[in-house]
Order: sequence, then C-alpha cells, then structure tokens
Amino acid sequence: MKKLKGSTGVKVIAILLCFITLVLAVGSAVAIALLADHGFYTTPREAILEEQMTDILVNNSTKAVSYYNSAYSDPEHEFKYTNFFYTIKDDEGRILSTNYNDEDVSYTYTASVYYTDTYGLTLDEKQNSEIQYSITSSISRDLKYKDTIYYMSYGINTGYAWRYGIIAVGIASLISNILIFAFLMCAAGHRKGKDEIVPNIIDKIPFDLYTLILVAIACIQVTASGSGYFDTVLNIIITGVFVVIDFLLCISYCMSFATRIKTGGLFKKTLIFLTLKFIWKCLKAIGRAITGLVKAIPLIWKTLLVIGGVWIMSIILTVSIYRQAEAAILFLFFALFCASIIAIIVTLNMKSLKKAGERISYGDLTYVVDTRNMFFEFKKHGEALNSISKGMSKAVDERMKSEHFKTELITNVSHDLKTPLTSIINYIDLIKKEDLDNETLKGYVEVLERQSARLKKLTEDLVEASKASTGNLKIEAAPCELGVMLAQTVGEYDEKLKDKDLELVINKPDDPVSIMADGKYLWRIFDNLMNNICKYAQPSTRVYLDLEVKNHKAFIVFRNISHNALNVPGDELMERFVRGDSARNTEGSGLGLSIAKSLAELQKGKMNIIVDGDLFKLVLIFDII
Amino acid sequence: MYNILICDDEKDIVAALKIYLCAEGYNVFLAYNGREALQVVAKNEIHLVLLDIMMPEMDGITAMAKLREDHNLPIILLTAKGEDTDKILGLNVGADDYITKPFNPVEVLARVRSQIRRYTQLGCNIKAEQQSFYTVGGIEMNDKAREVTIDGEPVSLTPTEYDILKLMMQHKGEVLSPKEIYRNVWKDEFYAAESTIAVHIRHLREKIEINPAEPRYLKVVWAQGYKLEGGSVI
Repeated sequence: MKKLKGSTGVKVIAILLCFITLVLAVGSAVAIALLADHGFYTTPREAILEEQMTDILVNNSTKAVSYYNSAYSDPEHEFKYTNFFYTIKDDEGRILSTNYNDEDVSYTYTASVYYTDTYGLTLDEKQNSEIQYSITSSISRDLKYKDTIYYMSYGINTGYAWRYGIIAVGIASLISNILIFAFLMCAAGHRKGKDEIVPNIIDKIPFDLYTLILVAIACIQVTASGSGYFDTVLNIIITGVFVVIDFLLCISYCMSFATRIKTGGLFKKTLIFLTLKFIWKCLKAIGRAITGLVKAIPLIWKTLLVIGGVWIMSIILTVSIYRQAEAAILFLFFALFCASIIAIIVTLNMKSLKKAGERISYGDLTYVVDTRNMFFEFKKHGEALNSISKGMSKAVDERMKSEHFKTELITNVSHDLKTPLTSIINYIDLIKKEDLDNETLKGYVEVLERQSARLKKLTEDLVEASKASTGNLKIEAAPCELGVMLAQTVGEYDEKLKDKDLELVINKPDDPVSIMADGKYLWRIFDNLMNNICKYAQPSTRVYLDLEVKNHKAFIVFRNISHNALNVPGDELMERFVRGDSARNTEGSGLGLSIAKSLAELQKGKMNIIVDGDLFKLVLIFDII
Repeated sequence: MYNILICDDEKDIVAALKIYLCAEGYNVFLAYNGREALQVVAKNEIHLVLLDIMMPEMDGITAMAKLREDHNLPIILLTAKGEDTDKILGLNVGADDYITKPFNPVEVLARVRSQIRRYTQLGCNIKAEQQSFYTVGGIEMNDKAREVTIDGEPVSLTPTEYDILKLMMQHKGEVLSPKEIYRNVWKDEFYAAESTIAVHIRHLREKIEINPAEPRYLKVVWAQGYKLEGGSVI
C-alpha cells in the first residue's frame, strides 16, 4: 500500500480512472433521469414508442404542410428517403401531394389543416367547418432509411433494454469513483521512498489564494458557457477539453487540501494568516520600540513626564467641564479607574519586593522574586534582588565547602601523624623494657618518651582546635547545673592541685545555677582551664573559682597568680599557639585557651581574659535558664 | 594459651604489638589487611582479633561485618579515627571495644585480657540469680562477702568507695547527682561536700577502669552527676 501511495504512475492511473468513473457515473445519472422522465420505468415499451412516434408524426406533418404551402420547397422531395409517409388531400378527398406507395406502415396520424389569422396554418385532429385540407401521415414498419425516426426507435429500444443495466453501471461507477477518490486523498503528499508528507509546489500556494483562483476560473467558465451552445462538433470538443481541465483542477485542489491537512498547516499557509502574522509582528516591533524608548528614559524624567501628563490632562478636563460636562465626567471616571489599577499593580509589586528583601535580610538566600508579572523599574529591582541572593548563596556555599575541606584536611593529616606516632610511642616503650646499662641512654629515652607524649597531645589538640573554631562539632545542649560542674571539676583536679600545693577557694551561691550547654564540651573548657592553672600558677598560692549570677547571666571566674610574668595582653593569649611564657619551654600546645574560647562560643557563651600584673583572671559568661 | 590475630597495614605497629602480646604469653597470628584477616580466622582457632579500620583491599569495618556473620569472638578496633561517629559505627557493626591511636601498650594488654576473660569465663554466669549479687558488664559484686571483681580480677575498695559503687550498681544506667549519692551513702543532709564525692568517684574510677580518662562503666555526666553503665566505650 505504501509503495502504491508513493508511486507517481499509480497516481496518474488513479486520476484517469477517477475521471472515467466520474464521467460514467454522471452519464448514468443523466441517462437514468432522462429515462425516468420519459416513463421508461413506469410504462411499457409500446406506449413509449407510440408516444414518441406520434410526436414525430405531428412534427413532420406540420413540416410537410408548411413545405406544401411554400413556393420554394416540395414535401415529396423533402421526405423522399425517409421512413415518413404522408398524404395531403383537399376537402373533397382528392390527393394533392403524397409519397406513400402502399408500403407496410405503422402509427398512422390524421389531422385537418386549417388556417387562423393568429397562428397561420394549424393542424387539428378535430374536423370543423373551416377545413381547407387534411393530412394523413404514417411511419414505415421496416424502417428502411437511417433517419431520425430510425434512430429514435433504435434509441428507445436500446434504452428500454438497458433501463436497469444503466442503474447498475451508475452505482458501480459511483462506488469505484468514491474508492479511487479516497485512495487519492490518502496518497496525497506521499513520495516514493519517503515516510513523511512532502508538499509539492501547489501545496505551497496560500490556501485561500488557491481557492480564490479556482473560484475565479469556475466563474469565467460559467459566464462563457452561458452564451455557447453544443451545436457544433468544435464546441463539443472545447467543452470536453474544459471538463477534463476542470476535473484535473478539482482533483489537484482536493489532493492539495488533503496534503495540507496531513501536514497540519492548512490555516497557517493562508494569505490571511500570513498577513495577520505580519501585522502582529509589526505591532510587536512597534511596541518593543516604544517600551525600549520608555525604558531608556531615566526614572526621574519618567516620573516628571507622567506628572506633566497628569497635569495637562487635568487642565484639559477642567476646561472641558464647562463645554461638555457629561463627557468630561465620564473621562474623569475612566482616568480614576486606570489610576486605581496602576496603584494596585504598584502595591502588589512593592509588596513582593518588600517580602523578598525581608527574606534575604533574614538569611534565606534561596528565596527568588517572581519577576514575571512585574513592570519597568520594579522588574529591574526584583532581578537585582535575585542576583544578590544568588551571589550571596554562592559565596556562602563556597565558604562552607572550604571550611569542610579544611576540617577534612586536618582530620586526614592528624590521622597520618598518629600512625607513625603510635609506632614511636610503642618502640620507645619497648626500648625502656630492654636492660639498659648505659645511664645516659636511659636519660635520652626519657626525653623521647616525654616529647612523643607531647607530640601526641599536640596532634589531638590541633584537631580539636580546628573543629571547634570552624564549628564542626555537634553541640547537644541540655540543662547543666554549674554547681555540680564545679564540684566535679574540683574532684578531678584535687590531686593535681595538691601536687603543686595550690589551694582552691570556691565561692558559689546556695541556689543551683543552670545553663544550656553540652556537658561534654563544657567539661573540655573546664579541663583546659584547670590544666592551665596547674601548669602556670605560682605554686603554694590560692586559686579562686567563683560562680556569680548577674542580670540573668552566669559568670564563672577563674583567678590565679601566674608563675611567669605575663607580658602578653589577655586577648592575645586566646589566639592559637600563643603562650604566656615567651620562652615556650613548658609543655603544652598553646591551643588550650583557643579551644576553650571556641567551645564557649559554640555553646553561646563568652570567654574574657584580664591580665593585671601577675593576676590572671578568666571569665566565662553564659545565659542562665 | 589463647590465639590472638593482629591486623594492621602498618607493619611496625603489628611487630610492636606482637612483642607485647607474646611477652604476655599469647599465641599471635598476623594479617595486613581485612582479606588476610578473614583467611586467618577461617583456618585457625582465634580467640580475639585486634583490627585496624583503615587498611588497603578490605577495610576493618567490612572485615568485621563478614567476621560477625559466623563468629562470636571478641573484636577490638584499633584505629587512628578518633571521632565519636567512627566509634559508634564500629560498635554498631559489632566491635566489643575500641582503642584509638596512638595507644598505650599497657592499655591494649589490659583490654585484651579483659575481653578474653569475659569471652572464656563469664559466658555462663550461674551466680546471677542470687539476691546479694550484683553485676554490671564485667563488674561483679558479692554483697555478703563485700567483694568486687572486674572481669574476674578482685579489686580492693575502701568502705566509702564500696558503698558508692553498690549504690550505683543498684541504680544501673541512672544519672545520680552528688546530692543523691551523699544522702544515700552518708545518710546525712547534703552540705558542701560535693567535691568530696567527686574525689571518691575519681578514685573509684581509677580502680575499676582500664583507662580512667575513657571510662567504660563509671561515667561522668558533666554538670549533672554520675552514671554506671554496662560497658561500652562511648
């Protein structure tokens, strides 16, 4: 089927067949109408023959009479080689003219010929007084000559014989015509070896133009054919040619229609559509140009223009109120209506911009302003807000990434440091277990042991400090009782303090003081601070540990006398790797205070250091609950 | 004679551990990645595994998960990954204990001893039903004899320490504030003796814990009180 659809030859044959079947169908229809009109389906053949023959007899008799009365013609001569016989007699029965010689005849017709002033010679079957002469005509039975009568008789006989056959032919050709037409419609647009629909040149003509051309051709033909007759062979041939051309035009129109429907561009390829499209494009371009012009005007000038316009309008309105009050009032209401709509739009835009500004200022950087329904400056402003939040969230993302990367790096580095350190510590321990006779060597091993322990502590502190300062710790805050915390701290450091001969003095209120903190990290702060005190406090002095509540805040104060002179400001002490002793000869990483400060801040607290001579004072501040 | 498998990709660490464990009289098997460890366990009767986490070919967590499919032996993880999340993951997958690098060899030996004892001796406890007998993890307390053993080894406690431990074993898993402990042990009202209790607790911890800085049983709930738990490292 696909092959058939694509083949040009098949299409040509189909068009030919279509034409033939169409002609057959139309011819059959005409014939059937003609036959029906003459009673072929209702009356017997003899009756039809008789009716037709009688018509001819009447007709020929009239002619014969007129020939007889004419000076220039002779009926005997005119009807010499025909199947028509006549005898003209005068009122007394004398034969005036005849071509009848006793042949075998059928269908006899007798009429009187009389004369009236109005109609001239007239035949009438009724006999009346004004008869001049009578005529008797008949038709030969054997129809010897091939004249009109012969063909008429033949035609009637054939028509009668085929009167049902022709219906069958008509129906058959009609059905096949419809089928072929359907095939042509299906095949329209298909080409050999191509799956898609391929429009041809005709299909590219705008459809409405094409239709118009065909209608014009049809009109011209109708006008022309109105004045012509089918009397000559030339006319018939010309008509035939036109019929063929019309048919081809029609079929190509139908096929083009089918192709257009298949490709879907029936209305898009009309001249009207193209024109409308062009106009729309022009309007759009003009609109864009105007918008561009308006946009190019600076905001202040724009505002001034609008204000000026309003003023001019108001003046016109005021003046026109005196002349045409109704129109002016109508216009006033219209202007008010427009102004209200503008005000609503401006308010809506302002509202969404305000909301976006608030959201972004609260840190919601994912918020995006919907600028689709905004106009002019509002749209610009909305887009600016969007790009701010976009840029900021990008920066924040990058920062987060780099922080995460930093922590990961430190974790990995510390892992890589820990592994060799484990071996060092273990093998130093193994050396110690060997029997060492050499005292110097024993001293060296002790140094190694001490320093490797310090390295271990340093590594751990480094990771801790990095995590605390980058906030990479998960704080699980819970109510913490600071009184209990102090007691626990004292319990843990009891012995270490005694070793240094430090006396711990605790002052705290009788009522429990609770804060929100993560006990584990709170302990890390206390641990670091007490460690520092044990390390750096002047031995045999008092260490003060106070808990106070002021203005809904808990103050935990650590005070001690420093062993070394503190020549570093308090704030600087909390920096990483800064130590009170500039010689750095004590053990420790220099990270303790830095870690404590970071951890305090992670738990929403504060840590301050005040150095006053040798007095070292550290204050932790937390909100109480 | 117990068979111990040491598995770590760092050969020096494996060698050092081997020396310590051999000195203690254990029979030592060596492996340098998870796959080798699995092969060794499949071929020999192993009583305990010391397992590193970060290793080539097959890491310790994967190896442990496979071991746990058909072995009940104690596994101690031995790793430089010291994060809490790493510890939790390790214990969830089936580790019995967790030692972070750099470790103290004495601590490793103590933990190995503890795990082996619990695995071989305390599996079937017949005394558990008795009234005056308390047990939490590896801690056993015979109240009638006033005796305490950790993983089967007797510990000597002062009377106050004994009373505190008994109170905490009776309230296993609960956080006891210093006030409650004082009221129950001293049978007196609480008066400015918080640090006394803290000191006693620290002493007690030093006696019953392998590493007092990372207690398994007697835990400090900072700024709240103390708690006795059934023996996890966290």
